[in-house]
Amino acid sequence: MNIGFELIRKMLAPWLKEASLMLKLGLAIVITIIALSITAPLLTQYSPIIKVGDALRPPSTKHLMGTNNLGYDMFSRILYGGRTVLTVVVSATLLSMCIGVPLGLISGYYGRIVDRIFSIIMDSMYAFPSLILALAIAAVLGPSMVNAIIAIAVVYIPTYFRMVRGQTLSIKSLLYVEAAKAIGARDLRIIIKHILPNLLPTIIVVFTMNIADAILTEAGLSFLGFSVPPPTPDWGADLRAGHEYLLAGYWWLVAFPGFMIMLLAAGFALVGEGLNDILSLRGAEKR
Amino acid sequence: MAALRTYIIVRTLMTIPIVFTLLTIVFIILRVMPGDPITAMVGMKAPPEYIERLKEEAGLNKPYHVQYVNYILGIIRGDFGRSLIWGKRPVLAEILDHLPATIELTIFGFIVSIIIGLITGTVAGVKCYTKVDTTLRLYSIIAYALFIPWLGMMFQLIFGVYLKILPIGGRIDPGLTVGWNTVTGLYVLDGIITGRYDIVLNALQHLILPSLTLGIVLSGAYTRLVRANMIDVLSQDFIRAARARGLSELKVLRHALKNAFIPILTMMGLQFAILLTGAVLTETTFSWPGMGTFLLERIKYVDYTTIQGTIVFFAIFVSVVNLVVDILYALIDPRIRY
Amino acid sequence: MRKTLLAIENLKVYYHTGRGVVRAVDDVSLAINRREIVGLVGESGSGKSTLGYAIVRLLPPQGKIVSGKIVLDGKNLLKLSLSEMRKVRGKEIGMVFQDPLTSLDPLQKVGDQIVETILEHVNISKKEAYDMAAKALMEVGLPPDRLDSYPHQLSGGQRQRVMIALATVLKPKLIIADEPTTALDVIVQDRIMELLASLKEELNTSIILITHDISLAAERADKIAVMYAGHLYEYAPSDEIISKPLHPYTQGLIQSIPDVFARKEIKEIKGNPPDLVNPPSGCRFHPRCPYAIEKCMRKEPAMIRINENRYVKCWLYA
Ligand SMILES: Nc1ncnc2c1ncn2[C@@H]1O[C@H](COP(=O)(O)OP(=O)(O)OP(=O)(O)O)[C@@H](O)[C@H]1O
Ligand SMILES: [Mg+2]
Repeated sequence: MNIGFELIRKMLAPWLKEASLMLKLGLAIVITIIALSITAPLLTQYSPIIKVGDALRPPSTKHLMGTNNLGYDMFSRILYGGRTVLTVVVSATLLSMCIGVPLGLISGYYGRIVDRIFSIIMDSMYAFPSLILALAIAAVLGPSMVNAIIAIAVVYIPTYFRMVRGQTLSIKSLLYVEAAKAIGARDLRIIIKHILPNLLPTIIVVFTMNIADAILTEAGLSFLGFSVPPPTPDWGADLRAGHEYLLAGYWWLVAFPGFMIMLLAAGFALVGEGLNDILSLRGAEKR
Repeated sequence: MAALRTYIIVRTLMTIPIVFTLLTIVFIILRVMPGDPITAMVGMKAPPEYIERLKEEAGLNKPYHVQYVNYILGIIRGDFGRSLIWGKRPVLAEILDHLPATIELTIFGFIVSIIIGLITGTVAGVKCYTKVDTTLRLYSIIAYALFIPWLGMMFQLIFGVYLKILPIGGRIDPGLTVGWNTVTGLYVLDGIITGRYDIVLNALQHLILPSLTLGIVLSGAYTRLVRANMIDVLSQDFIRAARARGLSELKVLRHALKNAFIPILTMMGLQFAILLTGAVLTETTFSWPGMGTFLLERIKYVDYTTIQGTIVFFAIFVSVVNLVVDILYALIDPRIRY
Repeated sequence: MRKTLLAIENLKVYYHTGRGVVRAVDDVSLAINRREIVGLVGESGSGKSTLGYAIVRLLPPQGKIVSGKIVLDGKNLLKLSLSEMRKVRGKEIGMVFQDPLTSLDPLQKVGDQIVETILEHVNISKKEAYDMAAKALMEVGLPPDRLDSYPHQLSGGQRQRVMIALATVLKPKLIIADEPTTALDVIVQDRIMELLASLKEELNTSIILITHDISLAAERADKIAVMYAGHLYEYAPSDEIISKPLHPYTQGLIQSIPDVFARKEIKEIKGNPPDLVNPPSGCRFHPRCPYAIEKCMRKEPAMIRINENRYVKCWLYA
């Protein structure tokens, strides 16, 4: 019954022993970037939204990543931008998980007409280009951090829904849920005590991979001008601002923000892959 | 053969509720959700009379159920409304003006991604669990994590700004198309049809960087798909049997690839949505005059009917492509065909 | 012409697995004459398929031929380069597999698969290759219009006929058939075996018939080779082995044949085959052998020649 918890314990506790190179590399990247954005005030003396020097200066010892067209320090903007990105992305992913997982559980557990309706809505959304969906929502709601979070969250609900629904269906047919039903357990109890724990490992993997994808969607939204309004530091927005100066050769305005987006997304993707490896290895062993 | 016909009919009918659901979702997002699009887009500062006028033009001041019925009926008639700005042209006409650019870009981006994906995926599958495989796996993750505008800008920086060997934006040098009538709107194809090889060459030069950008980022997914399917197929009996017939490794690989490709085809419908998302970002980066650039421009000018029409068009487009992919799959796989 | 077509000498094939080294074929020597059907029998896991695949050098990646010789018509196959080996596969040695559905490419018409095989080995036009393929189909009792069928459009028996056509179209000297009828139903089984036997007459080939069913081998094969746990324990003409099995394991196999007419008691061999990572010392059969003596545990018996055609590996006859 508690294979779920067991799995998570095995996945996380001795991860140093079991973790693949992928997982270690991914965790190193993710933890470093999180640490950098949390400790930003200690690492840089400059505010990210105040003119602190000449405009468009290349990287130097004074300004590690140069300054932008407004004379803001790019290094500060990168550090603080990490906060923006992580806040938006993690909140959005948590939000869509909190909506997608229950919907998937209900749909998979009860089946029938509820399932039909949910499934067709979710499948339709899933097939729709994610950025365009997020764009439509963000455009209607207007550019702000909360609205960006909502827009991204909506886009990823189907990811959780589909995964949870599928797994619930297969777990439901397993014997022990049948047995629990027979002795008169309530539906909610079965879902929480028997089904959810088995889903947790997969949910964690999907969550991590989802963050990686959401980072790219957030970057896309803000690159197109639909996330946090300026001058809030944000990698995607900085990339857009820097694009105008690219032809003149001010490479540092675009090189660093875009690199950070890639690094963070790759970091979470690596963690997801690594966890998935461990999970499928365990699955294979059990078989 | 009868079975195939039934399959195609059923699959086509299945598309109707999906399109209908998508249209409803778009309606809810654009009209029912809190916040009203016109105000959100024009900004709070605009005078209320102006906002009211825009709403009336877009038909947003009627009750929801009336709006919904009009909206659905319009789409069924193929009437996407008229643009609110400038020439007030029919939205559909404007969309069709910009569609070929997007299609040309996605086709080339797709070709790049599938070529890279097939090569890397096959190598990784054949050499599975070796260092080569791990390296390629890392490649697929990094390719996936690349942010399209960034990769595009790096290409612009290297090939356009420093080396100055490739154009960094647009579809074609404007001077070339003066007095030239397009046939399909796909410049490379039209150039070949009309015998204008200077246009073909120029269009290809403009296509290189955008399609490489789009293709590389999407190739990661194909690397993984091809690898997984290759490993699966290579372990099957008929591969060993093919070797036992004395076939060369190249021929054996051809058998494997063909079989590995079928499951990939089923994924292509979903991949298409990802391709379109990528195209929007690529277009913006390379000032590519396609649907993405068009949509963003109209969002900026609060051309409400055009925004709605474009998003609706995307919804229908994606559903139709999914339908076509599924039918194609049935046509290609003999086990379904007969 | 030599009488012996294939001579296997002291062949050892090991699988390197996570658990250790699996000695799937251990020091096996076997000679097969021209125009001879040799039945290779033994329980599941005794190394029959491994031996068969080793001959054409198509072992899975973990499997390695450690030592020995495989001499086909005077040339040692283990000494050939990969491209020379490819010329042997399909041309000199044809293979027929257990499951004909999974052994054919599902996406290619069977005719194209036959033609592809022909063109790989002989330099003729596509048209001639098609005619050859059509003839091969007729030889195995299928109408030539079946060339245009996909594997899934055929019945199990028809598919196995196609496999046999593939294996025989280039008139090989040797056919290795690994459980060719196991996946088929009983009536079809018989027809397929009939077909193999008649093709053997026509093409003057030898056949290695791999099967766990000793009665099938007795019915069709000229000689029977009995394998157990990677060793070859007895090799003799079929009638002799059935009427007078020497090795206790062979005796066990024969007693376990269900016989509807004689209504004799069926006796299963007690116990299970050993783990080939850690095979028993001495004779590998001794833990299950009713006649085992102390010596059997200590020392492996050598192959004993009873007469020109009869060999057995057992201390009872030393
Ligand atoms: N790919 C492999 N990796 C590791 N061990 C293997 C592999 N293939 C076979 N073996 C082992 O080698 C031994 C012989 O297997 P083989 O398939 O040759 O037996 P067999 O006599 O053909 O059995 P069956 O009647 O089941 O086909 C078995 O113990 C098996 O577990
Ligand atoms: Mg076998």
